[in-house]
Amino acid sequence: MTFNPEPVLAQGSLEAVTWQRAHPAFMVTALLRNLRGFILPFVLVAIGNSGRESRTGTLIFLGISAVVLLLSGIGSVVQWWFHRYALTPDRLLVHSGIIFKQERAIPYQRIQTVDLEAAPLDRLLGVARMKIETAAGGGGESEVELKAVRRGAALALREQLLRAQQTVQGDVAPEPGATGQDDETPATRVMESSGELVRKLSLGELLLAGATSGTIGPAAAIIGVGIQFADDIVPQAWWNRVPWDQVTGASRNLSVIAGVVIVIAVFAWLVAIAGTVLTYYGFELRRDGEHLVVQYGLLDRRRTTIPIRRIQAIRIEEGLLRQPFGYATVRYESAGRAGAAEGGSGTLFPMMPRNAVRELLAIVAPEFAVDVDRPRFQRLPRRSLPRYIVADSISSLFMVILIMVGIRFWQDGLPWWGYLPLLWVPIVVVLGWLSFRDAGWKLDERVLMLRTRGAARSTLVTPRRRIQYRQMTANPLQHRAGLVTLQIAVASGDLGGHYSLPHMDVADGNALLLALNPRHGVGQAHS
Amino acid sequence: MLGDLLGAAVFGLVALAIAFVAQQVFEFHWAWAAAATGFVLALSLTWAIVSPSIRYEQWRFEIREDEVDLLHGLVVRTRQIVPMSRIQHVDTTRGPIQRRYGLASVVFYTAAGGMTIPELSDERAASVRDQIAALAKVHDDL
Repeated sequence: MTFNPEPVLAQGSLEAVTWQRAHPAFMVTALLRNLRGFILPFVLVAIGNSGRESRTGTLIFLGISAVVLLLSGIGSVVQWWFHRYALTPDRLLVHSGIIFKQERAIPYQRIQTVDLEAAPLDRLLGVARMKIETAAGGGGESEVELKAVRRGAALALREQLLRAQQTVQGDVAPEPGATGQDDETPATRVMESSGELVRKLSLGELLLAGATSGTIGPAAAIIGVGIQFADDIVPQAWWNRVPWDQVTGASRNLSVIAGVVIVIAVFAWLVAIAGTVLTYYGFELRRDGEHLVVQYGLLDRRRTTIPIRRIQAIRIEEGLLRQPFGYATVRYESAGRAGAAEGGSGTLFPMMPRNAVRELLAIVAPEFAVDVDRPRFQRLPRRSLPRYIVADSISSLFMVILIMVGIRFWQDGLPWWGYLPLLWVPIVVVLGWLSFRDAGWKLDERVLMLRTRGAARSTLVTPRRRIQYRQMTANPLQHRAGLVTLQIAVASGDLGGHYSLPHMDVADGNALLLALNPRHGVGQAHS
Repeated sequence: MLGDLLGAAVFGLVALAIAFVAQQVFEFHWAWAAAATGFVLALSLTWAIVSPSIRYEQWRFEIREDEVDLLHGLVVRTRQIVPMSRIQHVDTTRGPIQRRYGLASVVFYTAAGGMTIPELSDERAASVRDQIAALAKVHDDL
C-alpha cells in the first residue's frame, strides 16, 4: 500500500482511478469493534454460568462463542477488502460495505477539516484514523472516516487533500513542504505537525487547568463503577464479615462523615487533574497557512484542523476558580463541523493568561482580536437583578431543605452541622448577583460581544457579519417588567451556536436588534 | 386550528391513559379519574378552539429589502430578524390538512437553523417564497 500521489492527480478519467485499500491493521481494529457488542453478554453469561456445573451449558456457550468469533473474523476481513478510497482530480471517493454498500464522493472544495486520530491500539499498530468532515447537511452523514491509514501515508494524504482543495478553490496553494511524500517517517514524528507553532501548553498551565477544572463527573463515574464492582465481585462471605453494627454507628459520627467527604473530594479532585492531563497533555496550537492545527492528548492523541475563515465566533471562558488566577479558556465555533461531539465548538486553547488572549488571536484569528475590556460592556438595568437571583435561590433552598430532611431522618434529629447546607443559599445569591453584574453587551462597527456568567464568565466575540439571525423573546413576567432576552445564532455544526443575554431592557433590546443589521456595520463587504 | 384539535384529542387520550393507570395503581374511585380526564380534555379543547385565532392575530411578518422580520407568539412573544444574505434556501411546504384548505407554509433556512411563516394562502406563500428567494440571491455577496 504505497502511496503515490502524482499519477492519480494527473489522470483525468474516472476509469483510470487507482484504488487504495487500508492497512491490514484495519482487520484487527474491525474485529475488536465487531466483538465489542458481545463482550457484555459474554461476561454476563460467563458469570451466570460459573455457579452451576452444567457440561452441556458450557459446551453450548463455547460453541456460540466460537461461531461469533469466526463470523466476526470473516466480517473484518471482508470489511477490510471492501473499504477502499481513491483520489480523482476533483474529488475523493470512498467505498465501503458489502450488504449496505456505501459509495461516497467528496468534492475537494466541500472538505472542511481533515483530522488525524490515533487511539492507543492504532498507535501500537502504527496506523491512524483519518476523519474528513464536510460542510453542513445531514447529521453525521457529512463525515467520512478512513480507518487504519498508515501514519506516513495519512500525513501525506492530508497534505494532499488540503492542497487539492486549495487548488480547486483557486486559492494560492502553499509551498509543498518537505512533509510531502516521506513514507518512512518514524511513527512518533508523523503525528507532529507542519505549520508554525503559535502556543504550547506548559506543564504548569496543564496542572493548573486540572486543579481548577471543577469537574466531578469522571470521579463520580469511577466511584459508581467501584461500588458496582465491589457489589458484584467481592464474595458474599467477605461482606458478611464486615462488622455492620460498627459501620452504622460510625456513619453517625461527625468526624467519620467529614473524613469520608474530604477523602471523596480529594479523590475527585485528583481524578479531575488526571483527566485533564490525559486530555490536554502536550496541547499545541499551530498555524499552517489558512488553517489552524490543534493537537493534544497523552494516550489518545487528537488532532483537529480548523480553516480560519470558517471560525464564526470565539468564546473566552473564565471559570470561577480560574478567574482569580487571571486565566481563561479560549473556545471557537466553527461552521460545518458536523458530527463533532460538541456540534461545531471546540477548544482553541485550554488554559492561558487572559491578558495574552488578544495577542494570540491576533496571530491565529485576527478578525477576533479585539479589546475585551475597553470600552466597558453595557450593563443590564437594575430591575433585572431579581430575575438573576430569585428563581435560582428558591430552587436551591428547596434542594437544601430536602437534604436537611434527609439528614434529620438519618440522624434522628438535626445536629448542628445539619444546618451547614444552608450556606449554599447565600452562595447561590452571590452567584446570581455576579451573573447580573457581569452580564452585558458591546457593539462596535464590526464586532458584537456578549458577556454572561453561569459559573464561568463567558465572553462571546463574533463579527456582526457572522450572525445568522437574531431574535428577542419576552415571557409574560419579562413583558410586565419591560425586559427581553436577546439571542443570536451563528453557524456551528448542524444546529448552529445560539447565545442569549437574558433580561435586557426592551428598548435596548430593540435598538440592538436593529443595529445588528449587517449592512449598518463597516468592513462586512470583504471576504 | 384543525391541527390544534388533533393535538387536543391526542392530549386527551394521553390524559385518559395516565388516569387509567393511576386509577389501577392507587385504586381510588373511577369517578375521580373520569372527572380529572374530563377536566383536562375540556381545558385543552378550549385552548385548541380559542388560541389559534389569537395566535393568528398575533402573527406579523415583514419582508424588507435586506431582512425578514418576524413577530409572533401568544405567551412568549418573539421577534426574529434574518438578514437576506444569510438565507440559504426557501421552501413552501403543505401538509394534508393545509392542502384541503389551500394553505401553505413558507420555510427558510440559515446555516444556524430554519424559520417558518405558517398558514398563508397558496398564492401568497408562493409569492413570499419567490420574493425571499430573489432578495436572498441579490444579497449573496457577503
